[in-house]
Amino acid sequence: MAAILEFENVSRSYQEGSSQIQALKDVSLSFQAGELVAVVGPSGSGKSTLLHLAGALDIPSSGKVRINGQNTDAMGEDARAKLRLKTIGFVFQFFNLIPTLSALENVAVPALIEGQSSTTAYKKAAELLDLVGLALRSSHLPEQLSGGEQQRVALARALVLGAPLLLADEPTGNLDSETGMQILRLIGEFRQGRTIVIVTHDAKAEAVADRVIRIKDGQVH
Amino acid sequence: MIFAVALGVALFVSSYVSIGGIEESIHRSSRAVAGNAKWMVTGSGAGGVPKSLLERIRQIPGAVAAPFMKASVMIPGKDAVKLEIWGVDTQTDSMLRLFGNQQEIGVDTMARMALMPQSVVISEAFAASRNLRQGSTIHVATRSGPADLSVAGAVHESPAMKLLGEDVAFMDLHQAEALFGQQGRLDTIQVAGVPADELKAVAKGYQVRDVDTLSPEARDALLRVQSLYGLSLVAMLIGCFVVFSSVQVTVLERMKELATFRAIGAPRSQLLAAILLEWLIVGLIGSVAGVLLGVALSSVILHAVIGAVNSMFPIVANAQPAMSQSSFVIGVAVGLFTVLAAAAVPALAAIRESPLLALRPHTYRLKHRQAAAFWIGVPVLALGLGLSFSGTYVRTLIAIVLSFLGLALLMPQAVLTAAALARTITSRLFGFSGFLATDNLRKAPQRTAFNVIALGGALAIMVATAAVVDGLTTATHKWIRASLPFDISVTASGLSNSVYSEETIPRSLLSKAAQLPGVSWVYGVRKSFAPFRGDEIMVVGIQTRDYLEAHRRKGSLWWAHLIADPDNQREFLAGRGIFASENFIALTGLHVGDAIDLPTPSGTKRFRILGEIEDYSWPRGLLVTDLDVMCRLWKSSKLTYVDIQLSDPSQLAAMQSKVTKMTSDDYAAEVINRSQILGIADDVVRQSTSAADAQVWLASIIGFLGIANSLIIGVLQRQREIGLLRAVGMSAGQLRRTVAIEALLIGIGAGLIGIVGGLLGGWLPLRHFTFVVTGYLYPIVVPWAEMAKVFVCAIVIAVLAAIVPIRRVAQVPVLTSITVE
Repeated sequence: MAAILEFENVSRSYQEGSSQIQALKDVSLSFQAGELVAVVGPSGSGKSTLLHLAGALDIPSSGKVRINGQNTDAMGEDARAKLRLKTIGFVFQFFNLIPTLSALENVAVPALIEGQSSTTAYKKAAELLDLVGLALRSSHLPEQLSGGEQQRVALARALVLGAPLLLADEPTGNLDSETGMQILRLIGEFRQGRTIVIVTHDAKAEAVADRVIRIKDGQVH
Repeated sequence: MIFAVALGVALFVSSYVSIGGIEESIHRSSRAVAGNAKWMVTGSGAGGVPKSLLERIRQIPGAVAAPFMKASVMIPGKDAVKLEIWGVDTQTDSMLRLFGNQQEIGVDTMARMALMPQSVVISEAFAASRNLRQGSTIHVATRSGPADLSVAGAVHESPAMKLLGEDVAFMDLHQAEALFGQQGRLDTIQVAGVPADELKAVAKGYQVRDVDTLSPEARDALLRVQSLYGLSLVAMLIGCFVVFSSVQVTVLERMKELATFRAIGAPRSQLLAAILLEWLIVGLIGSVAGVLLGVALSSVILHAVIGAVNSMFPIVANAQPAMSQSSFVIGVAVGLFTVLAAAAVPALAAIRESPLLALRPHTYRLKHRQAAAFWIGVPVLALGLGLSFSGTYVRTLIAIVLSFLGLALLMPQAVLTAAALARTITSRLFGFSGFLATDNLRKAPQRTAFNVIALGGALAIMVATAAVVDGLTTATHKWIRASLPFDISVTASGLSNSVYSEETIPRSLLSKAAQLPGVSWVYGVRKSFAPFRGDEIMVVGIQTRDYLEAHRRKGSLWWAHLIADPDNQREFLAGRGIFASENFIALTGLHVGDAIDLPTPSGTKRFRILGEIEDYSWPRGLLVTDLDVMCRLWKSSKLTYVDIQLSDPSQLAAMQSKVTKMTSDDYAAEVINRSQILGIADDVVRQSTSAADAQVWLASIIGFLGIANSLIIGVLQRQREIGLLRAVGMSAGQLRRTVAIEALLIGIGAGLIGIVGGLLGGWLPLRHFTFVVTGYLYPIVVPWAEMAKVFVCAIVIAVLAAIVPIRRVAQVPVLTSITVE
């Protein structure tokens, strides 16, 4: 099976004040299509850095990150943005919904950015909202939704363009355990043919994952 | 933030300080010209006073009286120029005692002027421009024929001299009387050292007025300047909006910080006091800086305003910004009040919030309480517009404040509604960037509204003044074409100040002009001024039958139908009836048929108002009488204008030079045609409002900075959202386009406010105010060209203001933005 996401001897360091922080050290990983992977590790272990590199939000200091065979550090900022739009869906811990847009509009945002007509974009968004169980809440603003509902909207947004790679950064970190479990189950439901990488502290995520990658001090163990 | 406060304060301080400076300068200039004199004795109109009166006044114990006579001569040549000659007393010490030895005219020069026949003392500027020196000869044309004047010396420049102008010369009174054939008559006598009652008793039948009483031209200029206070108020409100908006945003940004303090136990009163103290310091520094900046800026405005004020007559010299203690206090107080109010409103809202709610991560509270404000704003705006009709100066200013307040209250809701409605359109036109731009404006409806009002308010001044200018221009053009049935006119004074001048030309010019080949008809007009209810009104005498015949020949007799009416004409020619201008009727409240008592050099004369005629000659009103009646009452047969119709109007230029040649040989007269009168009328109207231009530019700069500031704040506040949009695939180009569209939408909003606000401002308060002050009710005109200009300006200003924010938005770091709490 072809890898959709590959890390080849990837290191990432940051300058923080006068000191150099080595967030990732010589990491090599491969993620196959249809795989649900949990990346776990303590705070500051480098798991978020790994997710940002996986999502083409950042580029490695050394080594290579390939998404669908494309080397991210060889791409310009706009090309990486296009790659994110077409290939990657993001789910964040704090949902990151646009507060003035309704649930339906929030879900439709990537489709609208892609240039789809609003009719098509809203139709797709409505279908996705239906799939995540929020058909009746589509006109609600984020502040009118519970945390779990907001995360489901964020999930629908991540999937509206049918991204083959879904990256979730602590998707349950801001939810109670029951709601968190529901979100993990929902993410699991969308794994058909899609690679899902969940960065988490949550032990429940390990239970639903096909594979668990443990990371500590920037290294995979 | 201090800079924003300073700019806002500077805007209105510069405005009122410069206007105050002009006002003060007009009074100061008036005093400077008057010297130590206390009273001025004149005849009614241009009749002057007899020299015997001077002797009677001088017999009053303690009286110092200086006589003056004024006349003009023409210096012929390719660039013919008119020289105004003042006959002054060199035989007594009256000049010295009233005007002091200010080293303006040296003793030796004075002696030469007194002793050398037909010698004049000219201004240094005039001497330099004509390369004249002591002993030079000036060939001139006078009312009594050609003459040679000898230069006795030059007057040193002084503020008072500057007011008199460059083309002025002084001559010994006796010599001037002989030169102009005006023996025994003076124009004015300036007096000091006597009580008014005693002087009035001696000068019975003549006008005795305080030299502090402004001349008609100074009063006219003062009125034009004072009307600018309305614009100053608009500038102040725009400044307040900019300050309020900037301060409010900064306080709102700290909502979470305030919630943190509340959470750890800080009482509300302590937080509010801390915020107010902080902004008191910022406001104080900003306001003081603003006042100082305002004084500097006012010099720029003064430069523009003085040109407008002096356009007709030199009224103002050496005007300085009038920075009094009270101006300083007002500037700082308004700045401080605005800053504190801007800080207190969101601070009170913030400290009333539950700290829990404010501390919750990523909750965006869309608590727009704009609907209630909207419904309060509607009646406030309506009240403001309604008050515009009341017309008094103070009420007009209140109307402007209420209109702005009403707009400020209702605009945020209007922004929300308009943005919601526009979202579909902008999405279709600009895709997702358009959708997002409209949504961004909704996120800060008050800030968007204030920016739109600030820039729109600045641009509204342009449209309002254009509405006034176009209205007045339309009315005066129509009036000049219909009411003046001549092709060219001969007048004693220059084109630009002929309306104020009392100079005359001899009646013999009428027959001389009539005999010129190519002249088909002539008639004479006499103009003077008369005191009426504390004001100076214009009185015009026409050669009735010849004037009506001129109208008949021009095909404009319809305009003079009231004068042509046989019953009216009988009363008119008999000196029992008079026609009054529409503005005279409006200003005095008199009606057709009413009797008026008009002071004339022959005493008070009662007339009945026979009819009302449209006229824009004089903002205090005009009365028309028959020329012979006027000559009898004014005890003079001289004319102000000789109006000439040509057999072939296409020969206008050739005939104008022919008439110029005829008059310049013998008289100090000027020849003008109707197009020149139209031109000068347009210039006067335009220059009257040109002072607003400097303020418009200043306010536009403030509006520009306000929009740029607002867009940058918007980008900073939405950093997380921008990061997210970049994360999910939005390109930097799409984000830049979003900010550009936001600016475009603000520009369109400001343009619309500028157009609508300007039209309403021009049609309601300004038009009504002009009516109350001058009696002119000019027609409502839509200034299409200015409206188009304003709309384009608004968009250009807004888009230019977006340049820096556009660069900023593309530089927002994606990673730190989405991970930042």
